[in-house]
Amino acid sequence: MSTNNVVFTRREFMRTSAVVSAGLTLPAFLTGWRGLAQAEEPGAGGRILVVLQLGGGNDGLNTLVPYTDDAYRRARPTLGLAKERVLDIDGRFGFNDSLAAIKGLFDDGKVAVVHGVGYPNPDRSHFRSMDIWHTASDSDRYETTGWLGRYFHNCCGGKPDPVTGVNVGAKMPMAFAGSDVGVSFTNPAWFRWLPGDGADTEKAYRELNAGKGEGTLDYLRSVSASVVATSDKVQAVARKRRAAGEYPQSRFADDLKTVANMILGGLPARVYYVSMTGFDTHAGQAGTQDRLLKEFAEGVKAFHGDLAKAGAAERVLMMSFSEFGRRVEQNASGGTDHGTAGPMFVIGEGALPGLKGTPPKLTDLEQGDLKHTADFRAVYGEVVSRWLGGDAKQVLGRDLQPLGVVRAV
Amino acid sequence: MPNPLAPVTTSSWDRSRARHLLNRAGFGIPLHEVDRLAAMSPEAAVARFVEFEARPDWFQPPDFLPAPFDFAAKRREVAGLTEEERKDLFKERMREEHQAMAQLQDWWLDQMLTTLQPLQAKLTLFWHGHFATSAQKVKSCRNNWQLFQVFREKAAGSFRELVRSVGKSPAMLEYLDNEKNKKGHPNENWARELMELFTMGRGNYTEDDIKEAARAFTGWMRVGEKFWFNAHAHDDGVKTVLGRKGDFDGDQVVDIVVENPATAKFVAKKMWEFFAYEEPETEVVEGLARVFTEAKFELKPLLRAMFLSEAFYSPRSVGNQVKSPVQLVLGLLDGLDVPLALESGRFARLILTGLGQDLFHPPNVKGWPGNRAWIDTNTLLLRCNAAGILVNGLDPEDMAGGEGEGARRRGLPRRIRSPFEAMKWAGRRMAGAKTAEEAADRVTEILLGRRPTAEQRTVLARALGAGTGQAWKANEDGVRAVVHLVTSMAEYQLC
Repeated sequence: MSTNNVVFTRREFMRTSAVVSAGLTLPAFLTGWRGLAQAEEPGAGGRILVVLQLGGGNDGLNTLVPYTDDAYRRARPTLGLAKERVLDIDGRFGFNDSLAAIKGLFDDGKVAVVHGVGYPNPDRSHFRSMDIWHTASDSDRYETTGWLGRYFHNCCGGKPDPVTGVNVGAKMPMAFAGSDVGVSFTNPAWFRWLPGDGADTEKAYRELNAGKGEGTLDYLRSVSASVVATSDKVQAVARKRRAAGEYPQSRFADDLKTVANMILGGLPARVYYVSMTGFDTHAGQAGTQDRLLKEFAEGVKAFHGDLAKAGAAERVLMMSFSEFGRRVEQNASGGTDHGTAGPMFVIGEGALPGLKGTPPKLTDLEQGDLKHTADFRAVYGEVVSRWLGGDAKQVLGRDLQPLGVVRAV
Repeated sequence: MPNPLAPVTTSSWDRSRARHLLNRAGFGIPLHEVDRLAAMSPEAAVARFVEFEARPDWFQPPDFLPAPFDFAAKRREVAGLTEEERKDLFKERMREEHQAMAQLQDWWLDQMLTTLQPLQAKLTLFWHGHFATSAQKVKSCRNNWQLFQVFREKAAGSFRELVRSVGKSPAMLEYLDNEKNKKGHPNENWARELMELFTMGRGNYTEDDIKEAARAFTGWMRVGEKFWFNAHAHDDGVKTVLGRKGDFDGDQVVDIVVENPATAKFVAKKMWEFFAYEEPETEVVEGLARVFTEAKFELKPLLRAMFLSEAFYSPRSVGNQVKSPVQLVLGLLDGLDVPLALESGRFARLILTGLGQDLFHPPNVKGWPGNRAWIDTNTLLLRCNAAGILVNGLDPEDMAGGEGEGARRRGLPRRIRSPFEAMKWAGRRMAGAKTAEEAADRVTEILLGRRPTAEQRTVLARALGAGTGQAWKANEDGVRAVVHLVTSMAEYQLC
C-alpha cells in the first residue's frame, strides 16, 4: 500500500465522520510492539514506587491531629478539629476524618505515618522548598539533579529504560532530573504521534527528528528520540488492561487509575509520580483542606484496592509528601501560613505500619513553626535501599538512621 | 570578549536578523513583516517595536465582562433569600465569571495574533508571567482584566510605577493575600514574593526584611474590584527594611526595593533570558542594569539596548529558544493562514492548556519557567499533535482509545474539523514549485525560515508523493502531510 493510499483512507474516514475503529487502523502498530512489551515483562515484575506529591504545603497538624494537646487547641481556636472529627489512633493522635479511607488501610496494617518530617534550616518558599524535596539537597545548596534521577542513573545495570520513571501529569518533576529516564503524560492515549497508524508519514516524522544537532536543537532531538522509543510501548501497554476497580471522580483518582493500568499492563517502570495541588491554604482552610484530603484518601484507597484485586498490591509502595507543613498558629483569615515539618505517609504492603518517629512539640517552636524530628532524606533512603534495592548513599550522598517505615527487601 | 552590548551594525543587518527580531520582540508574525524590517536600518526596525505608541492600534477592550460587582445592589438582591438561594446566586455568578474568563483568553489570543504593537503584546505576556496571578484563585474576570490592563498600559513604562500598580491591583491583593494583611496579624505572602520573585531575587534580603516589609503593606486591601487603603489595619510604626529605618508605608517599601541594586540586575537578567538567551554573560547583565538604573527604571532604554545589542543576534541567541506555547500556536495560525474563528479559538485554548501555558492560569506565583522547561516527552509530542490536528483534524474516537472517559473530563474535544485549507494555502505559498524538492523548500522556508538539509529535502519530497526530480502538482493529501511533518520537526519548536 502506498503512502497516499494510507493517508487518503484515513482522511476519508474523517471527512465522512465515520467512527474509526482503533482496531482497524492500528493492527501493525500493535502486533509490532506487543512482542517487545512481553519481552520486557521480567523488569516489570519488580517493585514499584508511586510518589504522591501534595503541592502547596499541606497542613500537617490538621492531617495527623494532636487532638488531645492543649497547645493545639490554643493555637487553633477555630481551625482546630473537634474531637468528633478525629479518627483516633493512639489516644494522642488521630486522622482528620476526611482521611477515613486511609484510616481503613492504617487499621489493616498497610500505612506508616512519620511524624514531623522536614530538614534543617527550613525554607518557607514553595518553590525553593519543593526543589529541596525534589533534589534532596541541604537547604543552602542548589542541586541540579533530582533524587529519583540519581536513582535512575544508578539503577538497572546503568542502562535504564526511558520508561523506568513515569510522571502522570503536565510537567516532568525535578526529582527525575539528571538522567535520561522519564516519560510524562496526562493521558496515555495521547502519547503517540498522530496519525501514528504505521503510515509512511510516521516513518518520515521519525527520520526528520533523528540525529544530533546544535544547542537547543540537540536537546529537542534527544527528547524526540525518547518520545519515539517509548510512545508505542506506552500505547501497547495501555491497551492491554483497563482499570477494573471503582475509582472516585477526581483528577487525582484518574491519574492513579492510569498508573494502575500501566502497572498491570506490564510497563517496566519502577517509579510513578502523581501530583495534587491546592494545599496552600492561607485563608478559609477548613473546607479546602478537608476536600483535598478526602480526594487524596479515596484515590489512594481505590488504587490500592484495584491493585490488590489483581494481585499486584504487594509490589507497589506509595509515599506521600508536601513541601512543608504550615504554621502552628492559625492566622486571622481562617487559614495558616507557610510552616515547616509535616507528616509523611508510606502506604502499601511494604510499609512497616504505625506511627513512626517522634512528634514535634507544639510548645517548643522556632519562629512559630515546628522543629522537625525526622529528616525526609531518611525516608527516601529507606525507600531507595529497602524497597527499590538501590544504593541510598550514592543517591542521597549521606547515610541517615532508618526510621523503620519500609520492610527490608 | 568584545562588548556584547555594542550596537549592531547596519552592514550586518539582513533578513535573518530581521526575522530574529520579529520572533523575539514580537511573536514571529506576520511573516511578511520580515521583508519590511530587513529593508530598514536596525535602529528603525527596533524603534518600530519599542516606540509602539507611535503607531495606531485597533485595540478595543472586551465588551463581555460581567457587570461590576455592586455591594449595595447585591445586599438588596439577597435580602430575604434563604441560604440555599444565596448559594445558587453565588454559583450562578461563578459560572458567569468562568465563562467570561474563557472568552477573555480567546480575546487575548486574538489580540496577540492581530495586534499592530507586537512588543507591547509580548511584554504584556512577559509581565503576566513575571507578576503571576491565577484565575484559579482570582475568580473575578474584571479583576483579571484590570491587572492585564496594568501590564499592557505600563508594559514599557516605569518599572517602579508598574510594581506599585501591581501591588494595588485587586487581583494581586487577592492572589498573594495582602488583602488579609493587618496590623498585628501580618500576612507575608506579597512582601515575600515582591522580594523573591518580582524585584531583587533570592539571597539579597533576610527573613526579617520580609516580616518588616509586610508590616508596611498592612492595610493594602480591596473592596470587591477596587483598591482600598484601610488606615485602621495599617501598621504605621517604625520598620527596618534592607537597612533603612522609618515609618514606611507600602509605596515607600516599593521604592526601597526597586532602588536596591539587586533589582536592576534581576530585572535585566530576567528580561534578557525571556527575549534573548539563558545564563547571559556578566557584562550583559551589568551593562543592561546600568542602562536601566541610569534611566531611573524606565523600561524603554533597557529594551532598546537589548534589541540593538550584538549579543542579541549572536549564535547563542538566534534560533536557539524554545517557542512558548503561545508563540507556537500564534505561529501555526499565521503560518497556516487559519483565522482564529470560534472553532480554532476553542482548539487553541485546549492546546495552550495541554502545553502548560493556560493564559491567566500560570502554574504558580513564579510564572512560566520558559525555554527548555516547556519541553518534555509529553509536551513535545503534543506540540506535534496540535499541529497535526490543525492540519488534519481529529476524531477522538480514533485516538482516545479506552481512555475516553478520563479524556472527556480533561476537556478533550469530541471532534475537530481541520480549519486548514490545504489547496488554497498551496496556491498562495507554494506557487511555482515544479518538483517535489522545490515544494519541500517552499514549505520549510515559510515555516522554518530556512531551507531543509539534503536529507530532510528527500524525506519531505517523498511525503509529497513524488520521487527525486519528478514533476510535482499540488494535491491535498501531500500538502497536508508535508505541512504536518515540517511543523512536527524539532526545528519548528525553535525561534
